[in-house]
Amino acid sequence: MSETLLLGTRKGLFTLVDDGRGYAVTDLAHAGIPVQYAMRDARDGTIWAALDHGHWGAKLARKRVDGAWEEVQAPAYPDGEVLKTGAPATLEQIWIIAEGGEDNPDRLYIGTNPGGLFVSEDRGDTWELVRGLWDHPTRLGGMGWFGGGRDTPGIHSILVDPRYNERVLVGISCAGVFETADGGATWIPRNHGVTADFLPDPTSEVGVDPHFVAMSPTDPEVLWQQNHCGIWVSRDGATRWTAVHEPEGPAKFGFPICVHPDKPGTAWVIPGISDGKRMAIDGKLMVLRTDDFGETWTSTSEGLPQENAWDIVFRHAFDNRGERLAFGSTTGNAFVSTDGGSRWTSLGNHFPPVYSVRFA
Amino acid sequence: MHDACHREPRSDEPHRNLIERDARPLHRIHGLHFRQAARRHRSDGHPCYTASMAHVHFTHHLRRFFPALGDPEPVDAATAAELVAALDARHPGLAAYLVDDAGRMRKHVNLFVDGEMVADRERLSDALSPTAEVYVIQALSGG
Repeated sequence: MSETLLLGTRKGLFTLVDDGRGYAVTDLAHAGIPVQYAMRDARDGTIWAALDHGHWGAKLARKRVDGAWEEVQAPAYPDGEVLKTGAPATLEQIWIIAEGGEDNPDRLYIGTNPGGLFVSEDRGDTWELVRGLWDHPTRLGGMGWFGGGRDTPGIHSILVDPRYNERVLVGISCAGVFETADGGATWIPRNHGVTADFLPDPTSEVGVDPHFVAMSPTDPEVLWQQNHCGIWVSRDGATRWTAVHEPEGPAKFGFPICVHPDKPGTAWVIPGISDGKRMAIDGKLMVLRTDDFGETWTSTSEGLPQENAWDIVFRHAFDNRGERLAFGSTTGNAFVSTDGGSRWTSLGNHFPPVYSVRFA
Repeated sequence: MHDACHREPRSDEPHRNLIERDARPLHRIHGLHFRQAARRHRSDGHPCYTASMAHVHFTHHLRRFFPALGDPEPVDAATAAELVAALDARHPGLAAYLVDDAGRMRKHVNLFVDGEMVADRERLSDALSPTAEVYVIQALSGG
């Protein structure tokens, strides 16, 4: 059985297929156009790509099974919606596209900058702003949501509970994790225990910066987040988070995090030095694994470059399917492991900067 | 009158799906101030090259996404906003490439009218002469 990888890069969407003899690039779509994120909807086989034209704005494209790529209407912010600055809210970036769950086969979500979550109930033909989250009083009130690395806040993580699809958690930079249990009508912040050392009040409920949030598919009460300020895990459905990073690293700063599909206590991160030094530690690329809910972290680096490697891996550029893992870096390297990260094989060293990696 | 004046949009226009799918009025897609222009141009299906129309020249980069763009494309419009709305009526989705959700000119897109850059990038209220030569260009950017 073949395995397929989608690499969203600054210069297009690369498809890599492993037919049993190793991965090879089989297709390049949207050549020359930045692909911020790409994924395959396992429910109907549609491949989705978030295009980030520098000049023409953020666009949305899809490729149905055996079909050609087509552009579909991207989400648009309603008239009169404003940012905290008072400026009109307009679509700046499509940051993530997510399935809406098995119970809602026509539902998809999109997370965007400047902070709007959009939902489609017709497989992406039309999109609607999720009002309950956009109108949450914390977005404009008090400190408000704000940008982390960009001018505006953005939604990068969307997690649908496989047991009950009306429960959804999102990760927002910078605001934190929010949860709905009623399909998006009402939302509550879920950041107890997460701290943000860059804030005037480091224990503020809203304003923290999860870089990426992952949910255990077998135990959706277990959630992991690689945060700007460390790594946290929750074992009670995000009610309370526990810090599990190493104060002096290497398990501390980074962007992506993966959780094992069958073992909720097993997760992987790819560390950088710090927020002020977003680069691989000591010029050595490594992946860290825990099998005990973050009590201990083990470095795995066999097959990864161990000198003059300064790669950083973005939040969507690391994915796993069982013990098979893959990641790509902003310096155009990509690697795969089929044994839980013990040994890594290069997929190529000259890709454009990699923004997203997803098993298809 | 030339045959080319009555050229129908090409059937392989990749954005034609937007016409069928999007039932929202045009102003909702591209900003409130396009409403009047949309009303004015919605039935304008047959552009005709006459001396009393503005003529729009497009950067070749846009032809990748809208291969049916005219070269130049004649448009009857009194303002830059009307021009964008009229173009979108013929090439659905095109306005979203030029302006954002609120109808503002995208940051790295420029409209030149008779050699002058459009001044009102918020509402595109700049008036067009009946024979305006309009250029749609993109700012240059690095690799």
